[in-house]
Order: sequence, then structure tokens, then C-alpha cells
Amino acid sequence: MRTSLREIRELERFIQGISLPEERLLMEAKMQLDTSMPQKINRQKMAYQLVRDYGREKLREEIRNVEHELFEAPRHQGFRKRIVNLFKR
Amino acid sequence: MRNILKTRKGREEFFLKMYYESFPSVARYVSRRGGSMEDAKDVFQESLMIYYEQLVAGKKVHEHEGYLFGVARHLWYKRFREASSLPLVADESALSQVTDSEQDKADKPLHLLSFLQSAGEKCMEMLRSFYYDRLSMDEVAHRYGYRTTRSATVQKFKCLEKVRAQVKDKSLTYEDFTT
Repeated sequence: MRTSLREIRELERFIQGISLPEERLLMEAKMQLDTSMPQKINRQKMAYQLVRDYGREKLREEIRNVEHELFEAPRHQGFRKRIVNLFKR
Repeated sequence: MRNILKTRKGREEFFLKMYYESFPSVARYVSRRGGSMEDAKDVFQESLMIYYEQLVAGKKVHEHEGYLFGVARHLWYKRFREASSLPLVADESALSQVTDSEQDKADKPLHLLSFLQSAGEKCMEMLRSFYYDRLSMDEVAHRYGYRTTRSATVQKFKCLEKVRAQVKDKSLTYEDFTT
């Protein structure tokens, strides 16, 4: 694995709080020496957030598809009627 | 339970089952409180997402209907409270997760996909499988056609590197990517 990827892996363990004590000490030392480290950590955290947002959007699409089928497909007509009746005023 | 959620087809079956089992009681609840069918659908959709996230994180839930109904009721209550500008109540802890998730939805427009897909759809799907859907690295390797877990792991970090490279400045927020 090339160096930059190893660093990403180390940062991942650090961010997730699963580094071994010695790895953690090493990372803290690196942060003292390499001023770009906090920014890298921050960017990596944002990358995880973006992946999470992507995952949520994809999941939302899947749920919407199921909902669409329930409210459109003939085979779910009974279910649909039951729901519609709940909203008749 | 977690196994069925690992494939798209499995999730589809699971969500369909949840709609049949739990949506009627949520719809009845929302209707009785003056909400529309659209309100009920929105609240239920969000509840399913929260439920899914809990399940893949390994939370044991013995009773779907009670759990989903509980989350939906919190979400509805929160909407109602916002709509009527009532002051916040003290019991925020139970609502915190629901609140965060609902907040995400409110704050974030949906242009994310086009931005992120520049990292490559396969990359995004792989990252999603591991970090969001919480598949193991063995499962990720198998699904995306890698011979070894190790080579899949290297690829996963390459993908993460691509996404990280797009985060240009630490002051950027999610909204900067979507406008």
C-alpha cells in the first residue's frame, strides 16, 4: 500500500478512536510536527460525512421506490384503500 | 435480520414488509392529529431510514412496529412543535437522534450525487457499502469482484482518497458542495 493510503488508514483508525496507544502517540507527535495534519483529519472527517450523505440519499431513493410501488401497483390496491380511508374527513 | 438488509432486493422486501406492518398505525396517528397522507409518508420514510441505520449498526430490536411507531411519533411531534413554534421541551435526549436526522434532511439539498459521482460511481458504492451499509470488508471484496480482502481494502482507501481530495478547504461545509 502506498504511503498516502497508509496515512489515510492511520487517520481512519485515529478518527474512529480504535488506534492502539502507541499509534495514537505517534499520530499526536505527527500532528505537532506536521501542521497540515489537522487539516487532513478534518478533510477526512468531511469525506466520511459525504459518504454518509450519499448512503442516506441512496437509501431514501430505495424507500421512495417501495412507497411508489405500494401506492401505484394494482397488487397493493387493498393496502392503498385502507390508508386512503384513514384520511377521509 | 442484518443479512436481508445487505442486498438491494432484500432491503426492498424488508421495507415493503415494514410498510404493511407499521405504516397504517403511523398514518392513523398522523391523520388523527390533523396531518395529511403526505405528512405520514414523509415521517414514515424518515423513520425507516433511522431504523435501518440502527439495524445495520447492530442494534437489536425485538418489535418492529413499536420501534417504528415510536420514531415516527417523535418525528411528527417535532414537526408539529416547529410548525406551531412551541418552546422546546426538556426531554431532548430521546429526540436527539431523530432531530439530527431530520435536520440533515432540512438543511441539505439533493445535488450531492452529481458532485460525488465525479469520484466514480463504483467508488461511491463501495464506500457506501462499507461505511454506511456496514458490510464487512470480505463482503465488500466479494460484491465488487476483488480476489482478496486486501486488494479491496487498498481500493477502498483509494476511493476515500479521491473523495477527500475533493474537500478542498477545511472551512468548506456540506452546503458548499451542493450550491
